[in-house]
Amino acid sequence: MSRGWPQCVTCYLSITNNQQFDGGLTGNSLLVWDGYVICSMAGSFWDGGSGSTNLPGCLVPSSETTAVNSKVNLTQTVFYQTVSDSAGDSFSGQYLQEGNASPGQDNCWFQGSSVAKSTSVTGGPPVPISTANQFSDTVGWPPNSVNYYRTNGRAPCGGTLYQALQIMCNANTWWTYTPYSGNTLTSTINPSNVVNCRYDMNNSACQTITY
Amino acid sequence: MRFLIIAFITMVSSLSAQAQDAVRQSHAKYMDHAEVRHLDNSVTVTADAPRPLADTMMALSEEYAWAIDFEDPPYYSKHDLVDDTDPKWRAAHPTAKGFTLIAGDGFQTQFSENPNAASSSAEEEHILDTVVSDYNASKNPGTFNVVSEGDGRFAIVGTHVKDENGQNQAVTPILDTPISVQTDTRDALETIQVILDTLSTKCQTKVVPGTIALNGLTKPQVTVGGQNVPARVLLSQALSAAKVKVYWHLYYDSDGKTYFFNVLPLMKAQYDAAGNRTTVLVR
Repeated sequence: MSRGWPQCVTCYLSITNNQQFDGGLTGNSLLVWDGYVICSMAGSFWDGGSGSTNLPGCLVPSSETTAVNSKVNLTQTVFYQTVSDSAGDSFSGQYLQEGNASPGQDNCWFQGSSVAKSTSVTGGPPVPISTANQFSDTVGWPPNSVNYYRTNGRAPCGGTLYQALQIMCNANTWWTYTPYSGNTLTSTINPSNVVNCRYDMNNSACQTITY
Repeated sequence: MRFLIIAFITMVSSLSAQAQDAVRQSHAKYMDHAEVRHLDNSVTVTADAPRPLADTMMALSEEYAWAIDFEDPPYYSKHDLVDDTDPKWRAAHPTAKGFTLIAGDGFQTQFSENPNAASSSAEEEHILDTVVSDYNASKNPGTFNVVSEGDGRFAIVGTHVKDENGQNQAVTPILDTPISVQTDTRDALETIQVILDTLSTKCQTKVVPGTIALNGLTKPQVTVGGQNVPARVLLSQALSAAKVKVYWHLYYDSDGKTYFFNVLPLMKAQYDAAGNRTTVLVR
């Protein structure tokens, strides 16, 4: 069985036996499998057993790598992510949004702190993927918050967020392509530096900033 | 317990280990977040924190997906603050300035619940008025007002603190300060920074970003500015133009005499069949 659609005429789903695929060109498609399945976007992901799941009716990344791009605002790090799939498709112009895979932790915060507890990603409006299949992500506390936590004797301390990333298939359908546990974003305040990290589904990158 | 602590703090020069134990015990009993309980036709919110009203507003925000802004008044007296200095350090420096904490603790409020409470701004304002009225009648620090910011959005704004004699003293909310910012197109985060910098210069009081919803504010471009416009209005315009579901809590650090402008993502509480609570982002 194979299929393509206007955004990806070369995409296909290959299965060997006893599969049922109830698919449209948009939205999610129910796949009931019993055997071996290869998806050009996700690779070989079932090689036995049986079950069912929803497949996205659009291109979704199967890989995401992260790299430090720059330091901003003295204590924060801009990371650039590159998304890809095994077919080498372009995701340019497709929209992404972030959410929480699970609640984060903020062990810099204390009761009565004037810097509010940070346990969630922003969310915010969807952003388009660039022509280089990239998008950016900013991690870290602002400098005054770093100073505040140090002054109040909290350093070393840190925060961790678990970021789920979704890609838009159409106006009403978002597909989460990051693992169930999400990407892990950390920011650590040390006495003489801050360390911002982004642990992606395929790699990780950190920036240590002397501050 | 709070009165007991305040009584001890009035004798700060001879602060005893026993008093510090009381402060530490007070820390231990704080609730991690305010709890919302739905009864037959009413709702009870219970908070126990240095800023119990702020925690209550955060809980209501999550319960109904309301963007409720909050602004501390500039607390400064022994009647609104408690000594929170490490006991060992305090023992070695009995007269030195240490760290202070806002002297709030337990607070409970109850209001009747209308089925359309979540979607009605009139109902929201009525509930906020009830909660703030209950708070102002409590013995917790500060007196607050509910301020309409337009478009069905409300702010809880500190209007009075206690002076050193324990008397109420009116204060002008810092975000009511009129400022002039050149109208320009910038990203939302930069716009907020420009507004806060201008406000800091005008008031000679530092107002700086605290926890900031980064990704939601670095990407949208907004065009905001004006002459002699209250800072609150410019901040509301910036967030509205960014089309991002957030709210702010402006907290005052009395030790550093600095306001921290915290921008938090709007969340909505969800409950499973067993009553376990989780929160999700509101988009």
